[in-house]
Amino acid sequence: MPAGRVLLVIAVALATAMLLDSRGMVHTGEAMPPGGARDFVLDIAHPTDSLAHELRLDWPHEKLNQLLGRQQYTGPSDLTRVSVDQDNQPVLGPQAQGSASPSASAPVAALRPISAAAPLHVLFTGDSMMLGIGPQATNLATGIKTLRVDQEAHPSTGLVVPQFFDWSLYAMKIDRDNPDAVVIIIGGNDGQGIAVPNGALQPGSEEWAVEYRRRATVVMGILSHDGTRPVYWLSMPPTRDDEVPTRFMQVLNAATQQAAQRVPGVRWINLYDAYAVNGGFSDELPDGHGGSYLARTSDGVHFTYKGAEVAARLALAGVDRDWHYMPQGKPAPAPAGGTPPGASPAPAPAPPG
Amino acid sequence: MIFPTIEFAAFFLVVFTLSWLLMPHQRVWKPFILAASYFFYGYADVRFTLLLAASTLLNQAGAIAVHRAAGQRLRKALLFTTVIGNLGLLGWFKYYGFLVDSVDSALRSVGLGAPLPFLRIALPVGISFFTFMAMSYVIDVYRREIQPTSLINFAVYEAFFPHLVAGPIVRASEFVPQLQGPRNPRDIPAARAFFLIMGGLFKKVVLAELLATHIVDPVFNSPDAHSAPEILFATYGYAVQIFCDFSAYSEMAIGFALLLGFRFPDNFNRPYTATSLGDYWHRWHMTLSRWLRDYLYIPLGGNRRGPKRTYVNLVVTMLLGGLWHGAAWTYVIWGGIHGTGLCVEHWWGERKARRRRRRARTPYPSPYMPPAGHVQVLPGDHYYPIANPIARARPLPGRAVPKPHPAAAARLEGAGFAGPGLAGLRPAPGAVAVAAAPEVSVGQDDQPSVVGVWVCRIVTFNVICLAFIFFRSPDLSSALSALGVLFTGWGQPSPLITPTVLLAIAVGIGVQYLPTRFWDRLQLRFSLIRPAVQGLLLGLGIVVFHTLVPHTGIAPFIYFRF
Repeated sequence: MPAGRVLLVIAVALATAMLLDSRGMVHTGEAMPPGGARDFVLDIAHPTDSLAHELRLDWPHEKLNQLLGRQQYTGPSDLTRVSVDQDNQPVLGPQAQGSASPSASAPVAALRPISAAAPLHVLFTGDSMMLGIGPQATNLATGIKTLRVDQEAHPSTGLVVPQFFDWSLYAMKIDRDNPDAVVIIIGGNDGQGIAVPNGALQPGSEEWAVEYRRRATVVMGILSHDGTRPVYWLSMPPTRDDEVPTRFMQVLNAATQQAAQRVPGVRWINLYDAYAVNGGFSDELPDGHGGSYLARTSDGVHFTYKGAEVAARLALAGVDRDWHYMPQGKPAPAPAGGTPPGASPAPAPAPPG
Repeated sequence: MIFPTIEFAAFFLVVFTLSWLLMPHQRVWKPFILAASYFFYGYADVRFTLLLAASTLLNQAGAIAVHRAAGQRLRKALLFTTVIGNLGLLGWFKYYGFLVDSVDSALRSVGLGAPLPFLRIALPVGISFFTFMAMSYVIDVYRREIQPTSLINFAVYEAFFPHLVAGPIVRASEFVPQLQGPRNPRDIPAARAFFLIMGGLFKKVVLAELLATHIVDPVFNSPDAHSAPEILFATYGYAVQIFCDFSAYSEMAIGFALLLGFRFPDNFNRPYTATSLGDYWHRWHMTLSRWLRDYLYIPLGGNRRGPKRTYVNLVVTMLLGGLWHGAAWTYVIWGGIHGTGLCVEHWWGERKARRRRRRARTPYPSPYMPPAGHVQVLPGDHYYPIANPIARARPLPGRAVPKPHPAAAARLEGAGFAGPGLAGLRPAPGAVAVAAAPEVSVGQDDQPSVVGVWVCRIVTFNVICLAFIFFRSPDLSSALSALGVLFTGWGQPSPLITPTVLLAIAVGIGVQYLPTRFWDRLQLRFSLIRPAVQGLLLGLGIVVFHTLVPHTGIAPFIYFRF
């Protein structure tokens, strides 16, 4: 076939795919790292999506999804409802403000008794940081008859771009599934500006932190179901400075910590201190026997399989404090190499019931 | 940059158009395609392009020096220096951490707590592939099989983006001749290229992603938390996943190269229809297999130095093949299982051959052990002989010589090249032998029954899967846990084994049993359709594939990390 005809085939194929799966293109663009390529893709994807929707060309894709019985997480989202005042400052709704005073020690409602017949069901979820923590938690829970761990990670997601993956809608799905408790980590992909009607809030700025806190509060509120379900929100660990600046990570963690203080039933677990060596990022962690081991992957953000164990143990220890799922006389999984400073859940939850 | 992404689609559209526009002007085309390939490689991390450039300069200098050197001793020394330089680069980026970790553990075990300095070294994508290609170029120059080519030709050969990051491992003798003149813009085998690309897309985006997320990753990340049936089906699932993932990349690479006017050797030929491990290695990652054969196994002595040395060479080759995949003991064990399996097959074949000779009461040299000093390059030979009567048996004197068995014929297809239009290239030595010596046949008594063939296939597949448990597990203890559960964890619930998973495994294996003529006919019919309709069908295919398995992003290809 001549090259010109081949070019025609390729162009028609790409145009067909773009028009019939324009939502997918927007979705893919939203998942790309910030930069020129992402802007370019989105600049093409958004108008294409509008056109395809007007022409009802998204119909086959939607029908195919229905045919496959795939549930779409759609509906009104509290994450995307950002309104700004005349100074381009986000206006926070009542839910974002939380209760008037921090409810750090507000207990969750009475927790149900757990047994081997009705084990505690904990969902470990979050972004790609959970890809290591979830399996480690599952391993640690093996053999504990009173505990059942499920894991579900959604890589490349966060609170900053709900157009790509809306954690508030997904939290509603979790709420419907009704696990007893949720362990969650989000933030690894959130080092980018938050789009608002008049532009974008600069990552790490005060306005950015306010809006991020609002979004975290929304997700925590849905997950905790008015304080009846304990939520264990894991902070972000320190990251290598050239990947995500330390100061930004501290802003993000402060925002989620403040959010956690405002939502009853949410326990904020400090991974930053647990993974910090001399106050900052380190590839390796002490193993408790005078040596060290590799805890972080080469990207300077994620955990190695072994490194994720610290976070998994901290999370399970936090869960055990509320639920006492460990048989009497047996301690909950403690962090390897001893409990690092600041590793205990903060704020400390009140005893259940 | 990875193939099934929007970035690559845009990149390829531009490169395809400009490449054919510039093709008549070779002096412009070569720098253009080189720049495009470096852009492709540096898209994720521009620093790695420096490594690629360094590798190119090192090997080109080495090849020219080897070619110009007068004495044999000097030529050998220069070759040795270049190979050490390549292995040094590979070792530094790929094996330093493994070495430090292993030495450190050993020192600790004897009470010497003196850890070596640990450095965080990022592994450049595709370093194993382009290093092997560059080494083959220098070695072929040393062997006087090829002449050094120009720097720009060699740079394009090493960096050509379709094969740059995950193969196929193309040889200079196959690729450089294609750079000699402009490609014909009116004769692009587009139907084959589109079939390869769409087939690869389906395997990667649908089957591999589905199996990875639904069973393989959850089970292998925490094997203790799963039941024996889940471990078993996760292992089968991984066998399908890695085949779909890797062969998808290879096929897409071949397809994109075809669209640009270049032909690559095939890399896979229905590997899970293999009836022995030897047969499997004729079908799996064929370009790596022939590399190991020609540059490792045969230089080690191959099967020229008696049975014991042959066994050693087999095991050494497979262990190093395992280490090529990564610096971990799990890969070493994977290679060890394959090496041992091949030795057992070899021994078994020898034993059967001896019995056959006794029955025939005719002195006949073993088909497996040629006289010392003779390099055995049998029809379709690989880097070890195959102890498989279907593919390897020789006719006995006085016996009728039937036509080649279909399994042997299938091997001929996958001996190094497939598809039309490759006649002008110098095929691999194995392929030469296939063409030159059509003596593969079996005596009537050795014809295996259908049941026998299937028993061989099932046993072979399960041995491959056993080795994959080590290959996939994140570490040795996880692999042993998985094996432990496999033998003890029956009777527990297995919620991860769903009809979708079973269907994906069945499809992944089943497509390998579809006859080649089925695909040929489909391809022919597709080629007769109008171009605009072809484009429409391809676009619909992309949408359906993307919808079948929802993604939050395409996972990198497994072999990128090798």
